[in-house]
Parts: sequence; C-alpha cells; structure tokens
Amino acid sequence: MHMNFTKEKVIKGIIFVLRNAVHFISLIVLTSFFNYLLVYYFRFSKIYINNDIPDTGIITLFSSFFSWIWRIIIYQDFGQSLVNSQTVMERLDGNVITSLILVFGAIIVIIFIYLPIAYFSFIKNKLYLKKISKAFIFLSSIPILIMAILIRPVWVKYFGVSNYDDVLSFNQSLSYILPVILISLGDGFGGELLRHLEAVFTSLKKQPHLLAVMARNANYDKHIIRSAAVPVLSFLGSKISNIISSTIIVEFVFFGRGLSLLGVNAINDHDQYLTMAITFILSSFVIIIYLINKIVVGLIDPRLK
Amino acid sequence: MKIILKKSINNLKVTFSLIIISLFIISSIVGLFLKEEHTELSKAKIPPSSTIIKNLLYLKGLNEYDDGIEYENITNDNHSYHILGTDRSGRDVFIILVSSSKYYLLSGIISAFLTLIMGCLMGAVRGYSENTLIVKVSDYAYSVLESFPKVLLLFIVGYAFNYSMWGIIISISIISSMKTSNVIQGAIEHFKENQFIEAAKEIGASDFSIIFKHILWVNYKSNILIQFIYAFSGFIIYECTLAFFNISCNTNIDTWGKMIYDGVGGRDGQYLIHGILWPSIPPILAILSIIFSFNVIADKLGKTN
Repeated sequence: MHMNFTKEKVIKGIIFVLRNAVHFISLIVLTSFFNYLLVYYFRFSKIYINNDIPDTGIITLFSSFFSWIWRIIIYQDFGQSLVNSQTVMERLDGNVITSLILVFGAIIVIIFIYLPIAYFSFIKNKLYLKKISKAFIFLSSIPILIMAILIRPVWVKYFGVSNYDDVLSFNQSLSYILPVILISLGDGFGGELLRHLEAVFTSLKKQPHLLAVMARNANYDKHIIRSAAVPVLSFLGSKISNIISSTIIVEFVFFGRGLSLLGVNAINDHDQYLTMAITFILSSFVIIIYLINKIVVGLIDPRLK
Repeated sequence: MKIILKKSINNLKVTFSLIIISLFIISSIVGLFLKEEHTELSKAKIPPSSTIIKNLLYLKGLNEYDDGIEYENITNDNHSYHILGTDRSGRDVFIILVSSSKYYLLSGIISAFLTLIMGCLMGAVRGYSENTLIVKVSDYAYSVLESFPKVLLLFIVGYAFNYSMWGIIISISIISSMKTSNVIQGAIEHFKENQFIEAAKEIGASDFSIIFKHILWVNYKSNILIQFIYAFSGFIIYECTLAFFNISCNTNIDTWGKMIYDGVGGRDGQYLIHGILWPSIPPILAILSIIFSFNVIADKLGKTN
C-alpha cells in the first residue's frame, strides 16, 4: 500500500490516536467506578457485621475509589483476598492463561472458519457452504450454557483430559477445539456475524466501483476484501465482550477452572477485592481491544485516513 | 395476534410453538397448586423410567449412575409412576418441572416490561436528542454497560442487590435493554427524517408524543412486541445461567436452572465429568422448546410486517 506521510497527516494521525486514547482511558475509569460502586460500595456496607461500619459518604466513596485505582496503576496491587490470606495477584496467578487461550482461539476460529465460509458462500455462491452457514446460524441460536452441557459428555469421551494440569501440554491441545468452536458460536454471536457478513457482501456486490473492477477484469477478490474489511472489523470489535462472556460459561462447564471459577467463588465468598479485580481486568481488556480496533479501522478506512 | 392465529392454521411450526407456549402458561398456573412429594422416595435414588431415552442419551450404565451406587428402578414399584423419573434425592422430575415454571411467567413479564421501558428511554435519548451533552452522557452510559461481559454484569448487578428476586429481575432487564435500545435507536433515526414527523412538529406535538406515539406506537408496534418476546426468552436463559452458577439469594427454590445445576452434580460437576446428567435433560428440553417457539413466533411477526 502506497502512503504519503506528510507532516500534516502525521500530526492528524497522532491527534486521532491521542483523542481515542483519552476517550478510552476515561471509559476505563468510568467502568471501574461503576464496578466499584456495585461490588464494594453497595454491598460492603451491608455485610460488614463488625462495629467499625465504614463511612458511606460520597467523599469517602471517591477517595477510596481513587486510592484503589491508584494502587492498581502504580503498584499493580489489587488488594487483599479474603481466602487463605493471599493477595489478589497471587490468586489470579496461573488462572488467566486458559481464558486467554480460549478467547484467542475463538478469534482464530472466526478468522479461519467463519470468514472463509462467508466469503465462499456469499461471493462465490457455493451452495453447500451456504447450507453450512445456515447450520451455524441455527446452532448459534441455542443458548451457550445448554449447548456446553450437552456437548460436554461427548468431549470427555473423545478429547477428555484426565488431569487438568496437563491441559496446557501439546498432547491435549486438541481438547480446546470444541470449546473454542462453542465460544465462537456464542449466544447468537456466530449467527449475527454470518448474517452481517452476508449483508455486507451482498450489498458490496452491487456497488458500481466493484462492477467496474469486474468489467476491467482486475483483481476482484482484493477489492472486495478491502471494501469489506472496515464494516467487518468494526462489527467484530464491538462484539468482543460477547466472546468473553461465552468464554466464562464454557470455561466453567468444560474445564472447571480459571477466571470463571475464581469469579464465581469470589462472589459466593463475598471476596470483594477479587471480584472487582476480575471485572476490572476483563472490562479493561474489552476496552483496550475496542481502542486497538478503532485505530486499525482508522488506518484502513479511506474516509478516516 | 389475529395474523398469527390466521397463519397458524396453515403453518405447522407456528401451531406447534403456540401449543408449547400455551402448555407453558397452563403449567405455570397449575404449578401454583402443586405440592412436591418427598415421601417414601427419599429412601431410594432412582433412574428415569424410560430406558429408550436413557439408551439414547447415556450409551452406558443403564441402571446406575457412574458414581458407583446402584439405584433401584421405580417402574417396578406399584405405588407410584414417574414419567420423567426422579432426581438424585428421589423427587419426581416432572412435578418439579411443572411447579417451577411458575417462577418464570410473572417475573419474566415484569422483566420484559422493564427491558422495554429502559430500552425505549435509552434508545429515544440516543436516537432523537440533539442536545450534545445529553447524547454524550447517554453514549458514555451505554459504552460503560457494553464494555462489561454480559455474564459478569449479570453477576455484579445481582450482587449489588444481594440476588434478591427484584435484583435478579433488574440485572437481567439491564442486560436485555442494551440490545433493545440499539433497535429502538435505529428505528427512531430512520423515522426522524420522515415528513410526518415534520408535520407533527408543525402541529405542535411534544417530543415525547412524537417519539412514543407517532414513531413507536403507530409505526413500530409489532417490532416492540418482538423485542418483548426476545426479552422474555432472554429472562429464562439468564436466570438459568445465574442458577447454574449457584449464585442466588434463595438456593432452596427449585427453578429450571437449579434443576440443571443439581443434575450435573453441583459445583464440582461430578456427573457432568462422567456425562451422566439425566435430571437436567427435562429442564434443558423445556427451555429449548420454549425459546425456539418464541423465536418462531417472533420471526413470523417480523415477516408479516
């Protein structure tokens, strides 16, 4: 891709990135404040049975919130967990890897299975692939929890892991296939994605500039992929929270470990700092992916470029 | 409704789903008067009576669960007959299934109404308002809600209300209202440019009546009904998810989610690991059939308009 980097363009690009970064940092602060308000402030005052009931004024709320977030940013200290007198960081240690593998696995499935299926069925008009995409749309309308419970016995029979500590070894890597496909189906996410891709491709095919490309006998695929990249990427970026949401359920049902189990235990034990840490990490992850996605879309999109 | 009834005579799918929904409503009314039996069955833990279904689902161990304990078969017992067998503590699955459907009807309707109210308000503000401050604030509020993974948001909002009945209803409504608000916003942005809105403005109609009367009530009634249906089926799914994670104020109440949770063997999921989950199959089938029948009716409503 040929690009002319003039001084004005570079300055405009830097301003675009900075403005987005400020927007997303304020979003992270707001989400963590909402998280703090719900988990710590609403409930903490109610379950505190000791005599030293915390002051529930607004000034204390803000000061304690900012001290909490300051400790996270500067010292990476999420506070003290209530169980086993461990810190939150110690409890999080080793539990994030499975979730991360599942999320990135789902993204890989979307890139290497969904996009080719949509491309060949809606642009190349392959009938059998259209049927497969219809099957995907139907499967994704089943709630993910129920599908996970029903598939779990089959998974144990064919890919089952005897020891959960072996999950990360290469021999057991096949056991990730079914959970990852389930996550990509999501609670209607897979169906929405395929429908969106169908709408994008069918509307693009009627565009005059692509008809001109066809008439010139130029590289049709290159042009249509480039035109489809912007709507598809912005759709995927806005749906990352759905992927993480289904990861929590699938991880709990299939692996019985990781962030999901930790979160559920934390809520049941009234372990506020751990709950807040997990919600903070996951929501910040979602927002950072939004930011990266927006910058990438800004680089590709000719209108923003 | 008239259109649905007319079409249902010719359409087998719609007839079937209407029958399922009416069965659900009848069972939730009957469930108010049912009493669960704990007598004499508590002695023996019994597998389901239908061996054919068991054969299909389990593939092994017909008269025993995989935890090594052999269970007696109640079909030989002259005193009682169980259509769907019993759960592991010896209670009739069918009776629990029918009696627990009452928890979904009223609370589902309340949740769906709350969803519509919140979704319409948020969508109206984001779609109609031209005041930049209000639009920015509502956009930020929406982004904050969207950057949480749905399941986590469900956990922490419910946690703030201590998982009381109203807490669960409100948390589920907040989650469902995000999608509704998107739909409403799109509709209002679409209709805003039309001539009849300008005419209404000329007459002197207020913004409130333009949004809720001229746009939503006159032109968008059926789609709001569709959103209501989706919100209702969403309530059932999310309640089951919460109950599956055993996060609830009163864990003694038998909802369908609790039945699934008990069927897979509690928090350890010991029966899930072995793939023997008979008591959770009937609620799963009930949930699936209700969701699919709601979806069929919503699709039909969407196509007729």
